[in-house]
Amino acid sequence: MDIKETGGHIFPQTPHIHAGIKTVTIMWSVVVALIPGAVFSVFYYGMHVLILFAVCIASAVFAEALIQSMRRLPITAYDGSAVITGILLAMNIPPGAPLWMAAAGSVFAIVIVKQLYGGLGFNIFNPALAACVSLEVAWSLFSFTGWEPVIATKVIFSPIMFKSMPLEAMWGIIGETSAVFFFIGGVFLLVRRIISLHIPIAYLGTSALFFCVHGYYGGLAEYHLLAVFQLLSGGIVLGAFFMATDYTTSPITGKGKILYGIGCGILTCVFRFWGAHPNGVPYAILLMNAVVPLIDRISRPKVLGQ
Amino acid sequence: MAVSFRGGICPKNKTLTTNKAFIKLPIPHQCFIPLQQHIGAPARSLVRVGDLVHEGQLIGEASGIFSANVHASIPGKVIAIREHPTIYNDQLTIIIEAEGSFEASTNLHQSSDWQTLSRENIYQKIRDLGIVNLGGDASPISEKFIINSEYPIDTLIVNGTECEPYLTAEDILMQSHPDEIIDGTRIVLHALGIKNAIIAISDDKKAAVESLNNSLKEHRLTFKDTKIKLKKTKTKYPQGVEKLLIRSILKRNVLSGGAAKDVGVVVLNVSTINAIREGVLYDKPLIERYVTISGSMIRNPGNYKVRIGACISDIIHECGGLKGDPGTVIFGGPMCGIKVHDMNVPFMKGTSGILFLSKDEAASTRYTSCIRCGACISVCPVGLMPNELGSGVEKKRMDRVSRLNPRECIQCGCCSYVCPAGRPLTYLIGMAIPQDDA
Repeated sequence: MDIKETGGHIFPQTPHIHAGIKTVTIMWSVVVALIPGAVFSVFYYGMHVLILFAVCIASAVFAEALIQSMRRLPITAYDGSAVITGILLAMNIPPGAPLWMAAAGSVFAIVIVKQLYGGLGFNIFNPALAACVSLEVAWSLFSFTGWEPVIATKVIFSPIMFKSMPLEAMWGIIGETSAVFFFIGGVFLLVRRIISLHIPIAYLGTSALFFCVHGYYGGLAEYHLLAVFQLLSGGIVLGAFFMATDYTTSPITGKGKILYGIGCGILTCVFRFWGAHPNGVPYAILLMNAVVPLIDRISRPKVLGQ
Repeated sequence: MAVSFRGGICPKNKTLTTNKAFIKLPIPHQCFIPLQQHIGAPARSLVRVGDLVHEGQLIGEASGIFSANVHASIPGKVIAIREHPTIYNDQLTIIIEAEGSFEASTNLHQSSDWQTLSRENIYQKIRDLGIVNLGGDASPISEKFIINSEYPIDTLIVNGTECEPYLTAEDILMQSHPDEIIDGTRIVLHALGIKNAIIAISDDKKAAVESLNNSLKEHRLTFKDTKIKLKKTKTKYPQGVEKLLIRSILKRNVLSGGAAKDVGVVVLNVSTINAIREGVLYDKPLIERYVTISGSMIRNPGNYKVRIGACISDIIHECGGLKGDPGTVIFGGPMCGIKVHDMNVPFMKGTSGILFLSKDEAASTRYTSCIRCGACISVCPVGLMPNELGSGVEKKRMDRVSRLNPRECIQCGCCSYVCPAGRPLTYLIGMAIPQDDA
């Protein structure tokens, strides 16, 4: 319909052309950006991780199609957003996680966290992270599976650091093996302008600063190396580029995104240093998700001419 | 240094017609001249069915200050005066069938030396000759000249940004008629009684910048005390919107609900300047204008000079016909223009372009839910939150919507253009604008 009548006034529907970038394009680009990290982790951990990815993606897509058909909504499982949720969930669980648990997490993410809140664009919490945290609470996921120390950072940057890193203090999720590959994927998203610099810079910058200050006052000689190590481990890079930047659960203006990134950075560090969780990223992002409406309210753009 | 504003978009699809010089379309055998081609009251018809009119004869008289005269674009016989479809709705239209000779257009002798004319003479001529603002709403120009004593007008901005995608007629006009544009600018300066003019031109129009610069250099000596400057703006849509243009160039803020004249500025686009010049120098009424006819469905896209009142099916025929189904037919630019369905709709004074967009070029009308990507906010040149406005209107939460400044919306269409979910944000915000304002 081009001209709708509204109380006597006719508003022509404009504009007649479109930039051509659709939701589907964006979602599949994010999937593409996640591929290098995923491939590396499969290469590093082996076939079980590949199967984990497949199970997570398949159950997420299936759960989305199923609940949408049950609610008699148009089925949008092909739009790539469920695939992203599946991949991100797999990235946030240990490589030894059992398949049934991965599938349960995917279904929880899609059905409870995403669709019951209204589906794409309406959920308050990042589905993959909420699912990961609930798996941890429900089945003590991490102690259940046995931990693998983190490593890929070490594989790639080994000579310069970690001389004094207590390995048993490092925890392993699939997504922390490949900070460098997530960084590459993140740059791809930045170049394609799918995400903006605000959140990654604010998040990584704040945590780097926090790590340095903490190390310095803790009396560590090589505190800057510690900071680099901390940034490359525990999925901060994955979080800063792929999870904190989730459109739906992050603030909508540039100003808000910076505030949000800073909040994520501070919380991650606080959880790491003083919390019970050595990673901290999922909790930090989920907590910040909860305050997004407040951030949105205080970061409205200024209206021209007022 | 090119100046600009916050937000906006950079569509790149002018290439179809950027190198096409003007072609004059043959005189149509029938003209449909609506009595209302401008905002404001329709003109009063001065002719009756059966009357013979000559080219350029006044056939509709302005009724009130916001109305404008209309003239016969072709000589001939009035065969009917009846309701006829236009881009807005059915309008009382004078239909003329060509007959007789074409004096006016072949006899362009200079009738007056503009420097001896008084301001009132020039205003009167502009009004008599039915010259309106040729960009956008075709509002009568005289309204722009009403001088607000509190803020005397000190600057004329000639808008050569032509920011709408596809449209190139003003670019070509500046390239091929730089002397005329500068002449016209001087006439308007004289009429306004001021000395400063700035020609704003987007930085992708390199040929136009060069020809205007050359012409300025050549004539500098004859200008005496007027100062005409060229100012480049970044190639971005919607740079041509008055508020944004004034802010970019003069750093003056037009306040909410205000107009250009409140900050001492008159903005006219180059086609209007050209029409004013022809009117003042040759007493030529506004019976034809330059227009871009483009889109991938028309066989010979280009820049044309077309008579007011030519109907769209005749224009299609003269431009080589269509490559099949007309697709989306738009009068004006693709961002703010109006979609037409009836091929009998006539070409009017405010028509800056006619586009025939294929299915691939035109935006689809299907949309999905907002994913909160924030693209609409980052492109909005006035700093609104189109996402919230749109969903508020959809949910009929008008109390919340009215706090989000829907009145400030300039309906530029950038938000809808970038929305990855394809949401009709511009349209939804339009519905939130209170009726007395619309």
